[in-house]
Amino acid sequence: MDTSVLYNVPHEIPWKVYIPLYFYFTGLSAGSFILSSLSTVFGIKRFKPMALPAAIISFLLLLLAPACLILDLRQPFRFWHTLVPQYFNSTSALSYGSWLLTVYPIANLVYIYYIFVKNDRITRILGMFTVPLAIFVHAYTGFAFALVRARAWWHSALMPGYFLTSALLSGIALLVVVALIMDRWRKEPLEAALFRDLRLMMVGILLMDLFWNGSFWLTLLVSTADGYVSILYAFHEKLYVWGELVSGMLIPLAILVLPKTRDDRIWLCVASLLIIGGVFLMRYSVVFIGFEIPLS
Amino acid sequence: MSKILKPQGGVLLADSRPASSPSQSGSPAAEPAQSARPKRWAMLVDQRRCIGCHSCTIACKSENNVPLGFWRSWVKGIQKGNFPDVGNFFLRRLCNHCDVPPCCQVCPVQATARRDEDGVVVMYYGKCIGCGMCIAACPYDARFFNPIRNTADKCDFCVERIDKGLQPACVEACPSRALVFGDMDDPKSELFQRLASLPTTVIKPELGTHPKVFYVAAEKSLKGRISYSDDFKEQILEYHKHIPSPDESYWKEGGKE
Amino acid sequence: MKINRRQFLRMAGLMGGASLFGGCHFLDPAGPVPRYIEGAPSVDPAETIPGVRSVYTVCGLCAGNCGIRCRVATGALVKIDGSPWHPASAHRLIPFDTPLEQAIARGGSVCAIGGSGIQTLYDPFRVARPLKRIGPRGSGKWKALTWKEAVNEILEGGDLFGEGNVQGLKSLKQAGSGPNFLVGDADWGSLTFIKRFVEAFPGADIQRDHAVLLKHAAARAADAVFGPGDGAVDASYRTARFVLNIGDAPLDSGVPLLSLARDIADARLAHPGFKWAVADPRLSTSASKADLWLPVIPGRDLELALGIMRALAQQYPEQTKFPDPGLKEAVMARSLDAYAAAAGISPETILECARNLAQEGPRAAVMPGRGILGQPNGLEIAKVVLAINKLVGSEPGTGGLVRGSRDFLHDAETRLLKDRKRSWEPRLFGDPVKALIVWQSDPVYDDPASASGYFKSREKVPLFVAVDHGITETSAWADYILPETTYLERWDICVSPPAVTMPGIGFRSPAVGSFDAASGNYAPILPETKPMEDAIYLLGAGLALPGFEPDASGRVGTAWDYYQQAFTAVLESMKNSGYPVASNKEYMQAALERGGVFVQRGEKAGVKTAKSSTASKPLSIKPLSEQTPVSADTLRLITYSLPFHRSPNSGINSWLLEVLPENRLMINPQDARRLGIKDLDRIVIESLDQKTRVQGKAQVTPGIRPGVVAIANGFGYTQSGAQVRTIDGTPSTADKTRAAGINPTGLKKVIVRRA
Ligand SMILES: Nc1nc2c(c(=O)[nH]1)N[C@H]1C(S)=C(S)[C@@H](COP(=O)(O)OP(=O)(O)OC[C@H]3O[C@@H](n4cnc5c(=O)[nH]c(N)nc54)[C@H](O)[C@@H]3O)O[C@H]1N2
Ligand SMILES: Nc1nc2c(c(=O)[nH]1)N[C@H]1C(S)=C(S)[C@@H](COP(=O)(O)OP(=O)(O)OC[C@H]3O[C@@H](n4cnc5c(=O)[nH]c(N)nc54)[C@H](O)[C@@H]3O)O[C@H]1N2
Ligand code: SF4
Ligand code: SF4
Ligand code: SF4
Ligand code: SF4
Ligand code: SF4
Ligand SMILES: [Mo]
Repeated sequence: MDTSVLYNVPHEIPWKVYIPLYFYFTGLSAGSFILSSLSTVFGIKRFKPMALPAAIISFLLLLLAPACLILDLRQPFRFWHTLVPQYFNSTSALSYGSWLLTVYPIANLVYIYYIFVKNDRITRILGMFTVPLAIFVHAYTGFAFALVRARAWWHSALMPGYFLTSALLSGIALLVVVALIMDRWRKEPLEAALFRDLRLMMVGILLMDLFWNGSFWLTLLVSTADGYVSILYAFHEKLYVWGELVSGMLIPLAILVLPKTRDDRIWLCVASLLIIGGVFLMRYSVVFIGFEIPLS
Repeated sequence: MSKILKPQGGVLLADSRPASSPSQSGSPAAEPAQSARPKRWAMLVDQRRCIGCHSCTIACKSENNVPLGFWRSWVKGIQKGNFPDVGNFFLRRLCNHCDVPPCCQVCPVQATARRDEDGVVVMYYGKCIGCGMCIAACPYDARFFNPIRNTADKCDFCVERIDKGLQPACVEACPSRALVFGDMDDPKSELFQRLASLPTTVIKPELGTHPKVFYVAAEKSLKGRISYSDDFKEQILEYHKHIPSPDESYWKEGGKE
Repeated sequence: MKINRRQFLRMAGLMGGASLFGGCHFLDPAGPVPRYIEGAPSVDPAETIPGVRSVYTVCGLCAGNCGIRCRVATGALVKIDGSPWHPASAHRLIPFDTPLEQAIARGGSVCAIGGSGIQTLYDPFRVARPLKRIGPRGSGKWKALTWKEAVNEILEGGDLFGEGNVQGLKSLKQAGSGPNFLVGDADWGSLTFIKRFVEAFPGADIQRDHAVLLKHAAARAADAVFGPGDGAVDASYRTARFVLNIGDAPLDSGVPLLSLARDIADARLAHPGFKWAVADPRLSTSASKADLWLPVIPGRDLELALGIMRALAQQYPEQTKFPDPGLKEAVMARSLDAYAAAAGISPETILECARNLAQEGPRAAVMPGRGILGQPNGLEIAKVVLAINKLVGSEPGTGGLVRGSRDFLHDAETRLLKDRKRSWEPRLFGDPVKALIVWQSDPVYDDPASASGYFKSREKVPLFVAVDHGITETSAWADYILPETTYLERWDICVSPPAVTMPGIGFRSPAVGSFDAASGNYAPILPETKPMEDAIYLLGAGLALPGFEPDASGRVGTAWDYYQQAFTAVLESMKNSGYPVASNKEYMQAALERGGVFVQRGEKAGVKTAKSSTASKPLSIKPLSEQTPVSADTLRLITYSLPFHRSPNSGINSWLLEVLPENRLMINPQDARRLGIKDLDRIVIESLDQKTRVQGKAQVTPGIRPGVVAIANGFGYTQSGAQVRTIDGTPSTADKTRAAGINPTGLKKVIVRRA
């Protein structure tokens, strides 16, 4: 059977790179915040030195994230529409997201203030409220995709979980890099155990992310035609295979588990940087592979 | 808003009929309440009649000032077969005015919504922040960013016209009379009668969006993606190359390659 | 300055719709490519909104002459719809006496081309001032003149271009000679006006182009087979029960597409028993909608026609009546199998056509189209094809075929012209002339190589004036371009093609601009443009031609002066032919407001029984030429039309280009594989004599006979905005989107290879 297209029309992709960046920064922010809370909320003392830097990084990223979002809007000056109660759309993940993105930085700032004034009790209480916010802030971006039934590549119950774990992963990796830098200037060096814990956490999450990926492949390969096409397309996409999977997950995983490299701080730094890049590519490929699959 | 999530009719029919059964909705006894009864505007596209002439495309472009490179209404066309067993197939496309519209589901500011009084999925341009979520969420690629308005845009069944009792521009233009527009809940309408007497399909019924654009004799391979070969990989990798119409930048640059 | 349409409208509104272009020749000579249809922040106002004017007039973008409704808001044309008054556009006509306000509730259809007419009107590359070339012909360098200067130079002549003396029209007139008017497929009203001018100017004459001759050939073929009548025939899809189109594609290039598409769709779906066959080497949309596709070898249509006759004669001898014995003899000279093999169609398929023809008899139709008429001896083949109808007893009026019924126009013409005996038999242009005035014709596009040689030659054409709204392939060679208004800014009297069976006549009137009926003055949107008739009145007045003299107050005649007479004459003639119309001022006004009058004559038109066939001249059938064998690498190239694309007057409209920005060479996968060509590959197409070579892209597609390649008409322009033009030293921009694709002219047998 021979086929030739007589007419058809192009459909422009509505988003630019700001959108994956936005998802990426919210993820990083949420990840850092959760890390900060490990000592303040969950009382893991070893992470105490990270609490303040993590919270501050988290807050700064939270300024970047909406900036990216607003940059991508065709009507940036109407951003406030998302906060008009009458316009609130109870079925839209973005509606919730807008509120979360407003409340969460404020809570974050208050939390930072109390870490700064070293009021552990209030920090703890605040942290207990802010941690769920951080989780929601990031999970919502996963839901924003998962709830789009139009695109098989997005429409998966795994999406929010995957977004959350990879957010955490990127948060930890970022913190590792920050800690490594801090360590050079700090009077008392950070405990080796801290780095070991961070490394093990990264290994664990990397394994989990690989598990998510495997689950995606298997389900998509046997799902609808669109799902099947998506995964085939992904396998053809260099950014996904070589960027996200190989450089963003497999190589850092190898670095972090191989006896030769795992205790070397330089390698740890390299692995963390690769992860930071890899998670961005994950956001990127989620967004744009989704658009490459034509719908009509 | 909760209405949007509730599937109407419940069953996903591959060969879709109006979700509410014709026999229930229009008994003569219900006649007095006619004026109060919400309408359900819908369109029938009879691909047996359609000749791919693009009269609808241009009528829509002109009526709604759709910028070059963007489309509220378009026609997909393929030629397929093995010589001499060949056919030309067309699929005239527009927004489906889904009864359960995914675009409205995701809009953070209710800038696009299904009108309760007639089921038309409309844009409130003044509200739209231009986030593009609805464009990503429409399973039919029916939406686009209008570069002049700087908001999302799409077919609105020519609301300004139908609200005044006129036919949509594309319906009026079509020389083959392949398009029928009307109230699918009104047993007296031509549309209702055609829907009742002709086998129709909708695009992607499995998504449960309950489209209100019904097709007669729509070619299978046009309702999804166009297939170039039996090789899935090739199809997807080739797809964008084969779209004969260029995007906005071609027109902006005056055709210079 | 970028200008989009909406901005344009706003400005046009502010300036009363007139003065926007004042002082500039092109909309924006130096700026970026104009984007006058970028879209807009709001929708067009609907026709029901107060202040929106609906003007009912006649489309001028093809010979279909459909009725259109122009929606005009604040002086600007915002939308072209179909007219509910016109039988080509409207499925159900509204009665003539319906008040105008009520008509807006109803509409009609309009095709893609007709709908894009806004872009013809607001084309930023329109010529807005009289132009005179200041370089050699075709150099693209122009100088803007006033009308007075331009008319004066054309009349007086002299050393106009520094190339030696050029005889002006005045000195030609004194010498008993005159200009030739090259007129394309003009409408009846304007053509009659030009005839008037030529009558008043004894040395002048009219020439026509290929388009007109082809149309004329179609009419002559019909005359030859069915006896003298009113123009060409067409199949009557409303009443026919079997139609066979040979080289004719009514759903692709039907004239008018509107009523044909509607009638065919109705016939296919609503008339049980309607059967349709299409013979075409390419799977046209018509062929794909037909019950039977006969992918005939191009140029073997005569064999196909004879084969069908042969099948009729041998299978259905009782039903088959040969109009003359010579024909029968010729048909019986070869066997069905021989004809079938020559045409490349199986004998079974031919027999099936014959069976349907014999069965439906008077309600069958066999129609030849441009695929046949465009062949070297196309007229003869067309006659044979039409003769098949005769064989089975089908004639115009018996149900299978229709023929024009605008007989009243002969009478109207005699009312408007003085010399009633003069023959206006069309004559093809190309002979040396003293001066040439070209209007509504673009022969250079159809034959770039030889036609441009003619127009370039100062010996063959010493003075070359184009009356045109743009710089086309032809007017690019002109000495002077007199800027004309478009079809949306003029009057005319427009005859519908035979496919529109309802009798009547279309009246075209300006949709935009301002018209003062009292003075008869019309101000179009570009103040320095004029309807062709105005321009000719200026020349006629300068020459003091009888009927063209200025009146006592020095006022020169205008288009409106003529059309008042012409509309009245047509209505008068209709009335005398038994149509229920009047010819007074009020009725004429009503007809103008409705874009014409369409009414049934007294008796009810329906299926008539065949008149005893008038003794037509015997058909001469030359013995079939032996086909010279061609090598396997040689492909035959045919051309076709797309329903949304046409020649210069609309093919450059970006809404249409957007649907398909360029034409590609259709080639069968079998041939493509053999030649190593893949879809979208760049290819070179070369004629066998190697005189013509073009580059383009391949479209590998199954809907074409192996050994044949096809290209759509109406692409590959070099002018009409695609080329930089310099006016008064200021170069214009060029819009290359208008130049995309291939001009297939000059290609018949070709070699195709990868570029
Ligand atoms: N949209 C649009 N409509 C048009 C025009 C246009 O340019 N655009 N042009 C108008 C004009 S001027 C005319 S004359 C008419 C013509 O209208 P038609 O008579 O319908 O002619 P075409 O569409 O050129 O060709 C008809 C078919 O003939 C086929 N053909 C080519 N060569 C051969 C051959 O050797 N044998 C056979 N059997 N078939 C062959 C082509 O593939 C094409 O599908 O259309 C008019 N209508
Ligand atoms: N390869 C190939 N060549 C062909 C054909 C084919 O099938 N294949 N078909 C042939 C046939 S049948 C035909 S009819 C011709 C068609 O070819 P053309 O004769 O070029 O066709 P038209 O579109 O009628 O254009 C005639 C000119 O009239 C101009 N015009 C229209 N309205 C007006 C007006 O109001 N004023 C002025 N001044 N100009 C106006 C148009 O802009 C255009 O420049 O092509 C012929 N050439
Ligand atoms: S106008 Fe009618 S026939 Fe033409 S493409 Fe559109 S739906 Fe089909
Ligand atoms: S077709 Fe797309 S844009 Fe239209 S209602 Fe359905 S989801 Fe929304
Ligand atoms: S682009 Fe506009 S309409 Fe679409 S989801 Fe965003 S705000 Fe809503
Ligand atoms: S209904 Fe109106 S907006 Fe929708 S496709 Fe038709 S013309 Fe365009
Ligand atoms: S068929 Fe011809 S006359 Fe009729 S609307 Fe189309 S272009 Fe105009
Ligand atoms: Mo023609």
